[in-house]
Amino acid sequence: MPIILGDVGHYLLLLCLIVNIYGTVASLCAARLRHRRLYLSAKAAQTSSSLMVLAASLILWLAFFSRDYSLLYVFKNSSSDLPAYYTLTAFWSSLEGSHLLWALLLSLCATLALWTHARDNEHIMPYVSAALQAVLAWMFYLAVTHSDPFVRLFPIASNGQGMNALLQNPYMAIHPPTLFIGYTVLAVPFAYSVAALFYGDITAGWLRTTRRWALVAFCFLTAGVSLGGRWAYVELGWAGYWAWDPVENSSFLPWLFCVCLLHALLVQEKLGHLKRLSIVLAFFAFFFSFFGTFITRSGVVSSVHSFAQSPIGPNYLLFLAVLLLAFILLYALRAPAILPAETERVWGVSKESALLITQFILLTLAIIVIIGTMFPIVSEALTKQRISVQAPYFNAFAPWLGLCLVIAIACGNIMRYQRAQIVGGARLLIIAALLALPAAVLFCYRGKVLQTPDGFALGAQLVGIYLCFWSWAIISGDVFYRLQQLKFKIKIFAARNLGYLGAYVGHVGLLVAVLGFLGNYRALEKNVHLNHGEHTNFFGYQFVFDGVRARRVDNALIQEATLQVSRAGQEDIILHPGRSRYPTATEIFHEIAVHGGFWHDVYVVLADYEAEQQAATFNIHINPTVRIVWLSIFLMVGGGLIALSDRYRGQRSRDFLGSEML
Amino acid sequence: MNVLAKTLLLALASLPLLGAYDRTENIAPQDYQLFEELSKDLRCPACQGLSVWESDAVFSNQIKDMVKTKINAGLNREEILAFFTARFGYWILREPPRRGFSSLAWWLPLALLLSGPLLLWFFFWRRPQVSPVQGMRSVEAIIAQMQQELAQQRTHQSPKN
Repeated sequence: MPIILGDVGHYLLLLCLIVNIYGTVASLCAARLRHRRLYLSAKAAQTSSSLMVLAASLILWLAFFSRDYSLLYVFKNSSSDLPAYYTLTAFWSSLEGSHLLWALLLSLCATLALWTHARDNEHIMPYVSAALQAVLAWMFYLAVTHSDPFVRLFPIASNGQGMNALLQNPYMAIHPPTLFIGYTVLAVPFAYSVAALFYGDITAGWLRTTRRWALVAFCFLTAGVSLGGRWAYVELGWAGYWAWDPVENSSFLPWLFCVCLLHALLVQEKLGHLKRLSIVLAFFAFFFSFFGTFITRSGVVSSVHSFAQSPIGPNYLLFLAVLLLAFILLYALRAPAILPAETERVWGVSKESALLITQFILLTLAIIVIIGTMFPIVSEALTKQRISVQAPYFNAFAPWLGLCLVIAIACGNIMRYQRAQIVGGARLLIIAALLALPAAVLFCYRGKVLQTPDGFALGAQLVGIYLCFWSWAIISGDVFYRLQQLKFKIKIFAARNLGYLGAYVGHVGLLVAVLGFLGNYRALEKNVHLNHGEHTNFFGYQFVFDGVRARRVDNALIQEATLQVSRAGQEDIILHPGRSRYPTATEIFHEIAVHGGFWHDVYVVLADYEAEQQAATFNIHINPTVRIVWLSIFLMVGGGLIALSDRYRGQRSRDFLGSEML
Repeated sequence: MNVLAKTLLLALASLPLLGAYDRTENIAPQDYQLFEELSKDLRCPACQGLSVWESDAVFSNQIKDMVKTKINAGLNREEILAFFTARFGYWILREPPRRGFSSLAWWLPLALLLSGPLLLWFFFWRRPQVSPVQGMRSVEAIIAQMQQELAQQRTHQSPKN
């Protein structure tokens, strides 16, 4: 690779910065002067900027594939023995590259948002453009100063230091881009919120576009967060997928605000209320996607004192502070311009109240997550006392809020807007309560729930499982009543109610997820030391240790144990838990063996191996219903996609107060 | 990059990931449950978000050994936790203590949960109905208005016909 190309990448990013600054200023002027051609130049600026950042990213990829160790980032994150597909993903395996990936995706997303919008949004597009390009300008500023992936290395090394072995996992190839797409897509509802505040009104087209982007963000965030959990599950070896650590929390927060936003938009669509709440939620969904990055990248998570060690932290803090203050100022000045709806007979006992309560529950969960994540930092800063806030704290609150959500799903779905009337009435409640009973009993029987030793855990599971099935029966009953109203003409139902159907599937997904989460109450584990040929029995399985062999996979050397697992003659499987070494790293990594089933996973970690004695130590975990959690993700994302394909939503004619530009 | 920061930290955490820890060793079977509970209440000093129970880092294994020693010395749960907080500070516990400044972490969510419905009531349900103003209008209102206008036109036109 010619030595100059890395510099070209750097200058392209610098150009992006300049072009986006121009785009921001031009958009604002165009909005003020209502000058159409000035806005079109800002749009062209954004389009060209996204092409340039794409070119810069391609240059970085090219540097990775040509093993160009004259770039520090390539030197630090790859080596010559790295297989091709991990060379592709090494791009985002460290901070600078992932910042560039984020900027790339945000830029592409912004360009897409400027080119595709509802026809009656024309008048607010300059504001949308200004908001997006201002954020991009800041990201490019960081990419050319403190987070530059094109920094030179001299003298040029002959081989790289290697990619972080924990990231050499297929899930790490798709998890970061998926999550980043979710984050970047959230920028569009944010930009539309800013535009609505500037303009002082919300139109039907605004609602339609925002709903669509928020749904896309929901799908990507759901997939992204769960892929991260899946990666932790198969790579880290502590047999769980969610530890409530600050990084996971910060990816969960935008999801919570996004779901909350979707519910607020629904009320707005049906009744015109909650316009200003939608704007605030769209802002915070976006704000927390950056906030999470701030607390993890600045190092403030481990200690307040590590904050100033890198200029990234203060830069992020400044950006977030400016963002927050600017929004509060804009909101204070402009929110009164957004007039309340004229719809009467709202709130009271009705669906809109149920949706409001749902938002309250989601926001409470979000605030608890924020408190838990920020508390160690605040405590250390104010009282000098270092404390930890980890899973036990979150687990003290989250199950209760989950319970509230399960009940809210059931109650909210059978209510109707503006009416204190429950569809189906008491009959539906009783039928659902009766139907849920055999389902819950069957689930408890097949899932071996009653074997839970601890009384509290058993009770929590029984209540949770029953309520999930009850809630499921109730929302299915609501589908039944809606079909009945249409005299079971499924075609008409499907054509007009995809948004509703998507919500149904998504809600079922959440209930299934809760059923899956409850499995954590009955997880079992065993720590066992076996000599060659010895066996152990656990949870009805027999594990026979049949030696260890070494093998090479790509750039890793793996010691692989052979465990023959059988279960009363039913199943006969062979598991290969192992430990791997990479030539570029001194650590040893777990290669976990998982035998997944619907009711439980058998999860085996090779903790230790003594070659002389031919003896190995295994951690064997029985993790119930993990498979069900993964299934629920498909349901939730599927629900989002179904809702997204609804062509009729948000197209109802409404008063349109937009003005044409000159 | 969240993900990446996490993996970097985890990579650091797994540096001393050197081997097995036999949890059943040096502990009486009747004390095993107490040992498990205590190890799940103490944080792994080198990791993000894990307890010493879940971690095999050297430091975690040392703490697990200390827990075993204390249990075998006949100390009860509170005394052992007190020993660890005296030695490492409250930082070693996985949840904030429920007194002093840290009790805020417990009271705030509870206050929020209790006051939330009151706030909702205050802001939404208690408020009198909003009078019609300009802004978004429902389809029904528009249709009703149009039909009214049509009806008016008809009544004006019909005498002529």
